[in-house]
Amino acid sequence: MHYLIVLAVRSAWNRRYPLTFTLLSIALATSLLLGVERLRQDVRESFSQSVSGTDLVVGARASPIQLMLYAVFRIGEAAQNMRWTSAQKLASHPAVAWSIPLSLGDSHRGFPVLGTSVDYFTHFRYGDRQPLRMRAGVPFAGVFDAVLGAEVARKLGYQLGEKIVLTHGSSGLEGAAHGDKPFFVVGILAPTGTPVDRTVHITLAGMEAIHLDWQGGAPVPGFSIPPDLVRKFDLTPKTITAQLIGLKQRGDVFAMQRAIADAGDEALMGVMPGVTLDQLWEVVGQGEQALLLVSWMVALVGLGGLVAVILASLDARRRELAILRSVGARPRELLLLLALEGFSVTVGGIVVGVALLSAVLFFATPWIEAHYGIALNGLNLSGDDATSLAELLGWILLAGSVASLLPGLRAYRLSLIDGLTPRT
Amino acid sequence: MKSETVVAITDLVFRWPRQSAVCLDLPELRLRRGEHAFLHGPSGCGKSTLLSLIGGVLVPGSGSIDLLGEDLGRLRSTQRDRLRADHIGFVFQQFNLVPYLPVIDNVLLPCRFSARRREQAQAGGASLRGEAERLLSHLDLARDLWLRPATDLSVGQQQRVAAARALIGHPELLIADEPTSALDAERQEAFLDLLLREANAAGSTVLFVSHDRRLASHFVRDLALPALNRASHGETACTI
Repeated sequence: MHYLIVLAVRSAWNRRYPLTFTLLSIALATSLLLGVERLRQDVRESFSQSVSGTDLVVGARASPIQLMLYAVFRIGEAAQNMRWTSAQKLASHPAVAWSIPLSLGDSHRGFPVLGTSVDYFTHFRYGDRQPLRMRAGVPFAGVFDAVLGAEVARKLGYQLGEKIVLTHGSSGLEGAAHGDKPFFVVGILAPTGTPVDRTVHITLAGMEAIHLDWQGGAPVPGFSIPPDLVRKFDLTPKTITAQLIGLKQRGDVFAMQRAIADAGDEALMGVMPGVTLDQLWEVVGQGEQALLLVSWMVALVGLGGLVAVILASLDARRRELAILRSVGARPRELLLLLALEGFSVTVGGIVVGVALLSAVLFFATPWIEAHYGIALNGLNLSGDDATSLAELLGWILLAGSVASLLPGLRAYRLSLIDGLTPRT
Repeated sequence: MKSETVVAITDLVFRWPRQSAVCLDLPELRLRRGEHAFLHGPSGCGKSTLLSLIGGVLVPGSGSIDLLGEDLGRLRSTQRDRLRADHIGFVFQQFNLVPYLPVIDNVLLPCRFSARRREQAQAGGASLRGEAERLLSHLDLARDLWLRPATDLSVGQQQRVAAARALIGHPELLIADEPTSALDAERQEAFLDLLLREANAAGSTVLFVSHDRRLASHFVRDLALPALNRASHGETACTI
């Protein structure tokens, strides 16, 4: 047995060039598979933690998924708004610790505009309960102040002090611009990897101000209020789109949900974001499944290459097998010899693959976090991640071992047919 | 007590699978200890098949082959593999060496698979390596070739390495299957002399197979397989 390993190593070394490339292809397949799986988990985590620390998302009664789509992802529009007075009533409810109003509808060059309060910057949490951080500037204070998400600033190349014009609705059509009342960038947020990065934040008062001289979605002809006069008007909103609520005690969430649903004067609902985000992932997560499938295909191709390389060498090795038989090697020892070769190439490929991925993650993680705000966890070798990692590696190893048996079985068969005189 | 008969074949009948004709039908063949026998016959007459049977790679359909008193047909395949490793050295026609091993490791190969050969190689108090080197120098292989890969050697050199491998650990039986047919006439003589001299020194019985009758003069016993084989009329029955 021990000498079989020596033989297997020597024979592998003798054919090191084809085997090296086979090993590399297995290594790449391994790191791809692990990388995709890692990324899948991280993206999923990132997605389901687009909002964290928020106990309930409140809006007009409709489908919970739809509410999440516009309140969290700023996709689509609310069929119906909720009254500001209802929002205020909820905000002062004794069980509520904090609340953030959300008012959507306008856009800037394709990026959604969100009207909200300064509470947004103090109470909003994402990911692992991380607060928003300012990369530059300060949160908004004045009516025409705007705070940009990281991606908005990066894509449009905006700096502090930039003058921006908002567009009515999300279509971005010419002529529907709020050109008379430009906003000024006072702050830029650090990347979060959530829809916050794609959002232009303004005050509720600002949102109200640009619509003062509008009616039914269009400017009132011949009627215009210049920006310096808007402060003379009441800028309290009549309605908002949705409201995020944090409770003093998480245990109150179901009672609060009932209280919102039973509020007699308006048809509202409170949705727990975690549950609904998981439902939403079932839909958008399909692509990740396909990616994982493709990665498995790549792994199988790599192992197929391994079998091909070893099988191709086998016919040239019939003499060698006969020699080994003549000095007393048993057919099953020859099987083992060939299988060992494939097995060690697989193990080598896995080791190199894991090292490769670790190196890539090590160097890429800060960059990805800075640009996309997705926190990659690296190859964690403890806890739940380690089990799923080990499971995946186990599957690759198993597939490699099974693949390695193929040339081994052929060697076994050949050695029985050939005996001491190979027929080649 | 060691048996005086190394190989004893009695009423052997062998037929290849999926062939109707009998390949070998040998009433009797005995090889005594230390005997040098020359076995000849045209290609396809069953020489290689007979060697595989004696080597325990094939088993007879009926009759018996005793190797050192053990009936091969009654042994399990792993026991036959062990018996072959312990007691038989092989030299083939050509491509005798494992290409990725150096010369000296090719010589030592039988000692890796057989504890008995290993012990006997060290019996004179020499190290395994020392014994391999002794055989290589007796077979006229220059010292600078010993650590070279087997593939660097000429055919003649390779055959001498194969002879050293077959003889290491003093196997009772040396089977040589056309070992000289890849060599030119001059080297054939020299190789044969070396092989037989070292086999004598090791006390091995030699079964030398060739279709070339000119070599028979080196041997005490000259066996014609077609004359021994009652099934020799079926010429194709031994090739598959």
